[in-house]
This record gives sequence, structure tokens and C-alpha cells, in this order.
Amino acid sequence: MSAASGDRALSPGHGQLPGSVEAGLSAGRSATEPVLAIRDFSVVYRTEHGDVRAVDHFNLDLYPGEVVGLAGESGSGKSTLAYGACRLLRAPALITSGSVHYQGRRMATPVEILQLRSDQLKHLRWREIAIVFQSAMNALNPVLSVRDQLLDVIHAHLQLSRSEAQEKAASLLDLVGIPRTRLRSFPHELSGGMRQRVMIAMALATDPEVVIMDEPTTALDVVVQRDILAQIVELKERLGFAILFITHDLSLLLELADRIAVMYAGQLLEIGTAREIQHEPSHPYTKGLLNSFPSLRGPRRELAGIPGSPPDMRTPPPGCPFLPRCAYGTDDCTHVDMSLLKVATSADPEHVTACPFVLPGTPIRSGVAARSVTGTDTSALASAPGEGEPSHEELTP
Amino acid sequence: MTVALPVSADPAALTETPKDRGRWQRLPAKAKVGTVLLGLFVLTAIIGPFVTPYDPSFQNPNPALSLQPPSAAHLLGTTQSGQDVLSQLLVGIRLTLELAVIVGVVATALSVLVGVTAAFLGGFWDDLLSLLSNVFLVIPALPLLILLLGYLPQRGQTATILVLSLLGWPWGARVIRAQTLAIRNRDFVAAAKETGEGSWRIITFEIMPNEVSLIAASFVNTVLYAIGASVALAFIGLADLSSWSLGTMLYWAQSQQALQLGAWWWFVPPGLAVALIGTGLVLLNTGIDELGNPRLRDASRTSKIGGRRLHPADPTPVLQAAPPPRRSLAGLLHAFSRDSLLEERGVGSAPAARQPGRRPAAPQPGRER
Amino acid sequence: MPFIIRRLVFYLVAAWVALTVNFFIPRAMPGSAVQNILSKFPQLQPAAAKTLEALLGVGHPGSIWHQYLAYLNNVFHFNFGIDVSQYPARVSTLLGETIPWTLTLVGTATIIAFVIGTGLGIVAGWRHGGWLDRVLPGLMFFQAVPYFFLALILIELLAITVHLLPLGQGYAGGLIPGWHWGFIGSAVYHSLLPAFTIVITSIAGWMLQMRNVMITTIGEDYVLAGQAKGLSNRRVVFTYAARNALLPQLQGFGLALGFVVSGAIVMEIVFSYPGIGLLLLNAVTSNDYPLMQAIFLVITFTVLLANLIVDLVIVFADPRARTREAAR
Repeated sequence: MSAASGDRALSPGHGQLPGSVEAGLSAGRSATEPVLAIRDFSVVYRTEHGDVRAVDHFNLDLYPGEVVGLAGESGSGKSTLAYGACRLLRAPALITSGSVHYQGRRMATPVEILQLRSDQLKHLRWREIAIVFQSAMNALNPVLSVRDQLLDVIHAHLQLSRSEAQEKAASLLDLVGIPRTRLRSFPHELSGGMRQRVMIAMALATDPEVVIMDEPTTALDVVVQRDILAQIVELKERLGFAILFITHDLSLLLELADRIAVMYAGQLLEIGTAREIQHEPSHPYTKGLLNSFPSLRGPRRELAGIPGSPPDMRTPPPGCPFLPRCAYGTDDCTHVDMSLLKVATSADPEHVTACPFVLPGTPIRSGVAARSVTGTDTSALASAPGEGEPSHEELTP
Repeated sequence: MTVALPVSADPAALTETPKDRGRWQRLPAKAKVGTVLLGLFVLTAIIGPFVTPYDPSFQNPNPALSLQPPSAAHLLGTTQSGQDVLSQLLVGIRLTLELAVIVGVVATALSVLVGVTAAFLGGFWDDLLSLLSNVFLVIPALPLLILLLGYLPQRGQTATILVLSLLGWPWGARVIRAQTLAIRNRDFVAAAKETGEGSWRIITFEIMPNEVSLIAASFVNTVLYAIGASVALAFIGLADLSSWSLGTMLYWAQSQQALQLGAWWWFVPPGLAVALIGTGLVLLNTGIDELGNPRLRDASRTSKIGGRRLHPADPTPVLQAAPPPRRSLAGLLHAFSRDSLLEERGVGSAPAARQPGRRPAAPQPGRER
Repeated sequence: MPFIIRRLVFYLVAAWVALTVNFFIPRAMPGSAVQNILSKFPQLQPAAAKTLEALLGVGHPGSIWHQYLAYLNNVFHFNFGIDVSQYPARVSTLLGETIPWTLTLVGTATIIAFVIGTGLGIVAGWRHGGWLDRVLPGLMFFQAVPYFFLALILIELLAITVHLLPLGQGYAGGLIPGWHWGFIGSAVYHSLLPAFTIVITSIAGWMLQMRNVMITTIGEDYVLAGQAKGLSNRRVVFTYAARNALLPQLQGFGLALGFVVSGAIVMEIVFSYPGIGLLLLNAVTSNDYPLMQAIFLVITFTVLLANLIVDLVIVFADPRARTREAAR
């Protein structure tokens, strides 16, 4: 797609994205700058019972061409984060702090998404940041054919003639391996895997910089899942977009992602490369997650889950939200400020964690720390540090 | 090192979420208004006939008392033959409500019977009963009612009840059948079957409790239908014209040319009564609907943020401390200075008890962000 | 079996049920009731008497089955017999005179109400929480008001107090019906108030229904996906939300047709509008059974036909309906 065919953003008059320039590689943006920089991002839902903090001072950088996995339980706020960053959340959601900088290939200067107007956002959406939704059956308009839905996207963002648009739509199906005859089909006539591929094709229609994938394979069976994931990886290599892959399935991310961010109760608990997370998990929650599913290889071992359930976000507890379910928890955890600290023992210089007390080397523990409610510390942790386990000192970076 | 596994001490669960708003408080406003309205009419129906100032059928031969507008003696005026409208109204409300409630009970019972049976038996019986329901649903009710009543030798209360119940069950039956089918396939029913519970026990104790709100909604709808139909039938003249129901009042008003003679006090009260009872029922039903589907609830509070009403396609609003560029939503929010308000609600900068030292913006030496 | 064929078969079955019910009602009367009915018409001309007897199944040779076949035959040839109260008019003639009035009035008014109500419902659903929502309880009141009562009020206000619109009738007295402007103008003028009544009472229902469906539809993922795609608001509202919300709305329209017709018929009585409603009233007051039965059949068939048309529209609008297996 050459520059001559014209980004919509170039057309004079209303609704230009501030800072947009000719398509194609632009000088002035180095490869080490993140394409999407989320800083101190917070979202609340304003209900009649009070404000519910769904995302709390979240920080994440997404670099061009990389795959960042966002792992967390249901209700941890991962979808809220992704949609909130694009400002797609509906009332009663409110973004209360932070910034979301976007600096794609086509931008001369970065754009602050949280300050864009509605019409500017419409140009940014999909063109620069596309979303692949979770359940394709629900995310595809039932009354429009596949071709119409593809054309929707094409006409909204690209200035193509009718025949060019039709050809583009057909070539998109080629891209994901669907026969062109399916252009005329309606969503209910396609199989689950095909629908998901159509969603992916639609997302890539305008050659976006960032693709947010919200549990794209959760609703599919494993065989199809594998196919789709392979397809995604192949397309990413070819077209060079970055992926924010949201899922509750950590094992998937270990295979797929470059970096993994672990989220809980609206907060970021740990970020690191996939390798580090897999072999040297630092945060107790991450350890617990990894411990919760068996690996295909290796010796059999007893599985341990994580007891308890996520907290009520209307009245978030002080300090670390994971404390009630943490096997290492102590009263000091109520004073933790959840800022991310470098894990000194990690091979990855960017590996950070929110838990100041537990290191990758700390032996894995399960269950909940025995501590009473009133705060008198009855945990065995205080009395018997053993096996190279740090006591309650802050980690020195 | 083994650790005891106590019940997880979740601090959040310990702070008692106030449930002081009782069950009545939590009903949507519409349901409350509807209930109050209906309550008024039910009360009137119960005590009405005992407090009528006059005998409603008493025809006063004195011509001076014929078609009198409301006065101190006759609060709602008189009819063509000198009868007191208020007395008729009081009796009429009871009669109409009586009829409608009885029809409601009978028809709802029928529809539950048919619906549950069809869903439970399945196969041929289900097809047959469904066909029957759909056929009687699509055939317009009023003409058939007119035909049936027209042929019956006597057209009194009983006949009307019979006929209305006969045609009032299909709608509810359809809805209940659909719901029963859905529930029947759920796991807990299969579990009950496995443990050997008899079919009737399953129906009564497992399935029915889940359908209470549906049955209630169906009942309300049927009563609504019964009122409308009985009033319409009476208006045409297919009722016991010597009894006083709201419909017969309207019939007499119409046939005695009340409208042309300007006697508004004759036809407005009964019509208004019907309309208000109907409104009460509709409100109640909508309230029940909203209880089940919270999305439908009045969103006038939740869709308003920063003083501005949002519709679904608006981008998520942003609260900002620094003045942003003009014309943006964030600018409007800032202009209203919501920060302090938000702090009261516990959003934004933290009050003392929580998370001290939380200042993410300032980079500190040696700490990664 | 394709959806539309199934629906056609269903409507045929319903029509057959209506016919059969119609046939059996008079015969299901207890014996004395039949005599009772016959005695109400002492001075009956032979032809009318024959109609009545055929209807009631007395004095007519042949088994029930033969009578049934004869009856069906008559119906298919639009032969409803000789009217008893307006002798010597034929029932079919009477019907032919009144049906066009009702059809035009009720048909047009209902469609107008549906279109406007649905449009308002789309707006109310999209702007959930806006001022339209505050109007809702008031609209519910109008929905609960019986058609004919509202008619009475409107006549009182607009025709008696303020002589804006005519009191009733289909056209000014003294005019000869025909296709000329004077008559048509008068007819339109006289239909304004009845049409207005129908629109006011039914618009609330359509608006409420569409609003609820819209709200549910807007919560669906594909509407959010439409927004995420950066499409214009108009496209999201109409092609993504409203077009999908229309389908249940249309289904509701089909189901409601029977009630709409019933209400309108009674309302005609108030306006003395020369439609089928007035005919029905006369039939009831004069115990004109052949007429009553014929009116029932005609109304029923019209409603069934209208339902079939609505089903066709749904099939046209919903790609899933073309392959849907299960009955509604």
C-alpha cells in the first residue's frame, strides 16, 4: 500500500490526527522507542455504590514488532486496560489518571490518546490500533456479509476506489487463508476458526501498528487454536505489527510472547521476558500461576492452585491486593506501594516485580500465610528465615 | 515448611457492605409507583361497595337530577337516569378488578400447566401444544371473544371469565415453555433426575422456583389483557348490562350520548380508572423487567459524567489535572473541577489510611518504574 | 424446510382452525339456545331464514361432514349468505363496503405509528438516560389507555370544545361516495382524528419496545467492535445497532397486529366511522349471527395475511432467518 493511495488522515480539512505525516518510514523515531506507552493509567467505574477501581496506576511499554502478553484472572482488569487505552469503555467508566502515548510509523510526533477528540480518535482507531475481540460470533455483525464488514473498515480509513477496495477485501481473506468465495457469506455460516480468521483479517486491513488481541482463541478448540496462533505469528513476522495479547492462559503466553506482564486486581505485579517469567518467576502470584498447570514434559508433581478469590474492587485493601491469598504474606505487605522494582537476580534487565520481599529464588510455597486479622504476626516466615530467603529488606537494585 | 491453611482472611470481606437498603428500596422506581397505584385501586375495590353514598342502580325519577355535573351531593355527578356516578365507579372498580384477577389466576394457571407440560414431555405433545398456542396467539382475540360471547345464552360475569380465560393462556404458555426448556437442560435438573427424583417433584421444587418472576410477569400481563378485553366487550354491549363494571358504565355513557351532551363526568372517571389501573400494571411489569435486566434501568445517573450526558459512542472520558486543549471532553471535566469531589469518593490521590508513599510520577533513584 | 414455507403452512393451519371454530360455535350451542336464537328473528324472509338455519345447523339435511364441506365451499366463494338484520343485503356486500375504510385507516395509522415509534425508540435507546427516558412513564400511561377512551377524550377536546375536527363519520353527510376530490378530501379530513388516536395510543408501545431492544443490542460486542473500527456514529447506530434491533421489533409487530386491529375496531364505534367496527357493533346489538361470523373470518384472515407479510420482511432483513430451522 503506497503512500499515494492516501491515508484518510492526510486529507485536508477536518479530523486530522495531530502529527501524522506521509505513510512509510519516517525519520525521527528510533527503534528503541515504544510504539505504545501506557503510564500511570487508572480507570474507575462509577457506580451507585461508589467507585470501583478497575485499573490502578498501570505502566506498560509496547515496542514495535514485539508480542507482549497480558496475563491475569477474570476480573483482573486486563480487558478494561486494553479498551480503556483506546477509550472504548462506556459509561460509567472514567479514566482518572495517566497517559497513553502512541507513536506509530506514520506519526512524526507522538499522540496523546487521552487528549484526542472524538473525530481524531476515529482516525486513530483501527488504522493504528486494531482489536481482535474474544468471541468472533459476537463481534461480527450478524446482518452484514464478510465482504461488507471488510469494506466498512476499508472505506472508513483508506481512500480506495470501489474496485480497489473489493480487491483489497479479497486479498485480506487470502492473507488468512480463507477462500475468496467466503466474501459473500454471513457470520453464522462460518465455522468458529474461520470467524476468528475473518476478525484477524479485518484487524489487519489497514496495516495497523498495534493489534490488541483479547482472548482470541479462548472460545476455540485446541487444534484450531494452534492453527490460529501460528497464523498470527506468521502475519506478525510479515507485516511487523506489535501485539498486546490478553489471556488468562499463561501457558499460551510462555510459548507466544516476547514479554509477559502479570496483572491482578487492576495492578501490574510483574513484567519480564517470557523466558524469565517461566524459569525465574519473582512475584508470588506468578509463581502460583505457573504452579497451577502441569507442563507437558518433566516429572509429575502435585498441583497447587491459589486459594481464595479476587478482592472486591469497591473497597480495595491497603497495600498489595494479593496479600489475602499469598503464601508469603506478612503485615508489612499492607504498606507496599506497588511500584515496580527491578529483580536484581534476573538475566533480563527489564524484569521488574511489585513484591519487594520475594525473589525468584524463594522456594515455592502454597496455601495462605497464617496471619491473624488484627495484625499480630504469627507467620513462620518471620521466625525462621531459611534457605537463602531474604528477610524483610527492600531489594537493592 | 508446612503452613496451616486457615480460611483466607480477606480484609475486604470483613468491612460490612451496607445492606441497609431493604428489598423495597432496591426496587426500581417504576415498580414502586406501579405498586402504589395498584394498591390504591385494590383498596378501593375492597372497601368501595361498602362506602357508596347511594345505590348505584337507583334511578332517580326527578328530572332535575338527571345529568348533573359534580356537586356536593353527587361528587361525580349523575347519569341520564339520575344515578350517582361515584357509587357506580366504586362498585365498578371492584367488579372489573375481580373479574380481571380471576381471569389472571385461571389463565396463568393454564399457561403454566401447558407450558411446563409441553417443555417436559417434549416430542409430539410439545409440537402439538406449541402449535395450539401459536395458532390462538395469532388469531385476533377480540373478534373471537365477541363471537363466543355473542352466542352464549347469558353474558354475565361467569361467561366473560370463562371466555377470557380460554383465550388468555397462549402468550404465557409460550414464554413459560421457553424458560422451562432452558432450565430443564441445566445441570441441576439432570442431577435431580440422577438421584431419582420423580418428575413432579422436579417440576415443583427445582424448576418452578426459578420461574417465579416469569410467572409473576405473566400474571400481570394477563390481568392487563383481561381488563382491556372485558372493558372493550362491555363497551360493545357484550356484558351483563345491569351490573356495574367500568366497561358497562362506558357502554351506557356512550349509548346515552354522554359525549354529545357534554356529560364528561360520566365517561371520564371510568375510563380514567381503567387507564390508571392499566398504567399501574404496565409500570409494575416494566419494573419487574428492569429487575431482571439491569441494563434497561434508568441510566440517567450512570451515563452522566462530568456534568455531560454520554452516549455509547463517546470516548471514555478522562479526568485531568492539567488544562488540556480546548474542545476536548477532558477540558470540560476540568472546568467543572471534579477533583475534590472525586477525592471524597476515594478516587485519585489516596486518603491517609491507604497506600502511603504512592507517588508514581516522581522518578526515584535506583527504582525502576 | 425453508423458514417461509414453514410459516405459510402455519398460517394455513391457523386459518383452518379459525374456519373450523367458526363452523362449530353455533352448533355447540345447547339445544334451547338455538331455538332462542331462531326465535329472535320472527319475521324472517325465506332466504335469510335459510342462511340462519344453515349457520345453526338446524333443519338442514345431511351429516355434519357434508355441512362442513358446504360451508367451506361457501367461504371460498365469498358466499356468506344473506344478512338477517339488514335484509336483503348480502353479507359479502356489506363487508365489501366497510373493509376498505377500516383497512386504509387502521393500516396507514398503524404503519405511521410503528415507523415513528421505532425511530424514537432508536434515539431513546442510543441516548439512554436522556430526556426521552423521562418521558417514558407518561408514554406508558398512553399505552395503558384503551383506544376508545382516548378517542372520547380527543373528541371532547378537539371536536366539541374546539371545533377543529369533525365529530365522527367517515365523510361529511350528504356527499356521495366516489373517486372525486370533494369526497376524498372530506374522507381524509374525517379520518384525521381517528388516525391521530391510533397513532398516539400505539406509538408509546413501539417506542418502548424498540428502546429496550436497542439497549440490549448496543450492549452486544459487535456494536463495540463497530466503534473500535473507527466507523462513523451514523454507521454504528444504524447498520450495526438498529438493523439488528429491528428484527425482534418486527417480530413483536407481527404478534401485536391482532391487538392493534381489535383496539381500532372498537375505536371506530366511538367515531361512528363506517368501517368494520361499526358493522360489528350493529351485528352484536341486533344479534346478526351470519354477519358476526363473517366479520370474524375476515378480520382473522387479514391479520394472518399481515403476519405473513411481516414474516417475509423479516426473511428479507435477517440472513439467519433464511436458514433457521426451529419455529419461532
